[in-house]
Amino acid sequence: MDEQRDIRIQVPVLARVEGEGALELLVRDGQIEKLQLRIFEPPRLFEKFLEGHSYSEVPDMVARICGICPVAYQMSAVQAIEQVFGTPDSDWIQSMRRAMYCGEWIQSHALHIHLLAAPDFLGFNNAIEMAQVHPEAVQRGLQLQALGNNLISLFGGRSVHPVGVCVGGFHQAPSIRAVNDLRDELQAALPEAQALIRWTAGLDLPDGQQDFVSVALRHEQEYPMCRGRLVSDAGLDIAIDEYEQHFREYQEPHSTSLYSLLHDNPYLVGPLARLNLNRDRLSLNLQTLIDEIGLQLPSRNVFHSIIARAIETCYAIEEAVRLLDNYQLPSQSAEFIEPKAGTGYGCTEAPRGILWHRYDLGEEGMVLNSRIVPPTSQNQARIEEDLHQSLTAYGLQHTDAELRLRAESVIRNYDPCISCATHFLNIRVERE
Amino acid sequence: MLIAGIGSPFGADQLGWQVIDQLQTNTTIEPAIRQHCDLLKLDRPGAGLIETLQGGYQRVILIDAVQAGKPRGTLLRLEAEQISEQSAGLSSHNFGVAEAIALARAMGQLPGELVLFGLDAGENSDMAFDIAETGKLVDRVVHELSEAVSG
Repeated sequence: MDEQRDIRIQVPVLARVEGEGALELLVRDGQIEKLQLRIFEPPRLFEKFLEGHSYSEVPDMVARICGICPVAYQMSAVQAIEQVFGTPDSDWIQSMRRAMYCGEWIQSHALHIHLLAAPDFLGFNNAIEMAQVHPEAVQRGLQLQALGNNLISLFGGRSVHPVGVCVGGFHQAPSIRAVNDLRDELQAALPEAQALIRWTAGLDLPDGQQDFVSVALRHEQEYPMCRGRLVSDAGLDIAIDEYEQHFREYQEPHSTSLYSLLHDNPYLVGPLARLNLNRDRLSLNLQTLIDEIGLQLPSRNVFHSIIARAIETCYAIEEAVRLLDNYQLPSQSAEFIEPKAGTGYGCTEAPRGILWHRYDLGEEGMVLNSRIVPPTSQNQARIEEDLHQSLTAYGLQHTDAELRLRAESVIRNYDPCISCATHFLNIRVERE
Repeated sequence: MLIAGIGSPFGADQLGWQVIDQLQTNTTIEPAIRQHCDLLKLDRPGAGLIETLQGGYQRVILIDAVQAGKPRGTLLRLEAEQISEQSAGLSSHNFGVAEAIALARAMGQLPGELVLFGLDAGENSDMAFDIAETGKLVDRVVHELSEAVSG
């Protein structure tokens, strides 16, 4: 007899893994008449799945939303739930969560820089071709990616679905020995990370000045990952709880992904936005290095995102070393918190930008309703705006193949979750 | 030797994990063989698969759901060269898998032997494979294991 499988895990979302994205471009009389980008977005389906589940299941369930950034989903979720139940006091818990998040930034950024973005700027079709000529660059990327993964695994316990994070803290504390070994590995990787910044700054990046609003978290002391207020370079300065009063989502018929606007305008989230708004929160070392490479901040050129990722990779390594220095075992890896009813908000900086969660919890902390706004959909309106401007500036008289390549590299600047496929884009150009 | 099941939480794409679970409890694998095998589950590893391939294993067996246009449940066995040359006709994962293998090859870092086993998901990629279907693949992998050790 066939067992009835739980329908909740049978949703056909292979499309995201296939890297489904489509661009439709209609050019008439040398002008763009229509430009529509379609992104498929599994996080929305999870909003429904979570209803009726206990708060204790949420971290493991949301980790499954994304194969690349499970940690970000877990951190935003526990922050929201803990806002209702009570946020853990312990420095150890806050520090180790930040260290784990550093691992995800390192892993995600290193992969994107080396395997997805760099080929565009060195004239290769893909990372495989690039590896034949620049194997040392690709190897560096893979080593940094492995380092990030090791840092996540230190807290996450296993390679599939890291299970370390729970409401109240962690399921267990890593040993002093394991932490010290990894801290040494991270320290040893710093020179490579600094070299990476110089390398990205030396790439032949297109010059594309645009007008846009950057949005990120901002904290009194730290470069933002897990905490802060939501700010923009157009005067926004709000608590994360007020997100819904300023950011509005709506659906365009051509895309299953919701679009997001801030005060009715597109906006940018992600490494460049963070850097534009938080340069002063970096270490002095890094600020000096930024001056040395001649990067003017704030930057209005989204092609600088690759440099921003390199800077953040180095920052995350420095920060992880600092957090893991003089590691001591805590008296407990998690604080017990009494579940209760209420509405909680969480917003953390995933590698790709702010990831905002809201949960309405019933008695005993059961999820009644959830809302998850990922960074990629928040960038969607900005990406379309960018494509419009970039392709026009590039010149619509270029061939379809050239337009596709330029469009792909513009989109790749945003490192959308569909980047797993290097050439995901199905472009249909109609010229009249 | 490493046997890595590649998958995601969705439908037929769980195949890699199902097979690893069954291999873990399988009683027909001889202890002498089992001693030499590491079993691993990977969730949408994409380019992260390369790190696994660099793990120093002499021999790697990958398990993944595929979409090769064959009837549902068709068993496929592919060598490294066949995987990296075929970017069309295989599953979405194999785009990540094909790339990862091609990249490892470009850097001279493929394990000595690499083979991929899969089942075609057919038209019903949202339906998980049942025990009869996965059992067939498990038997084939067990057979490969005993050949590998004796060969």
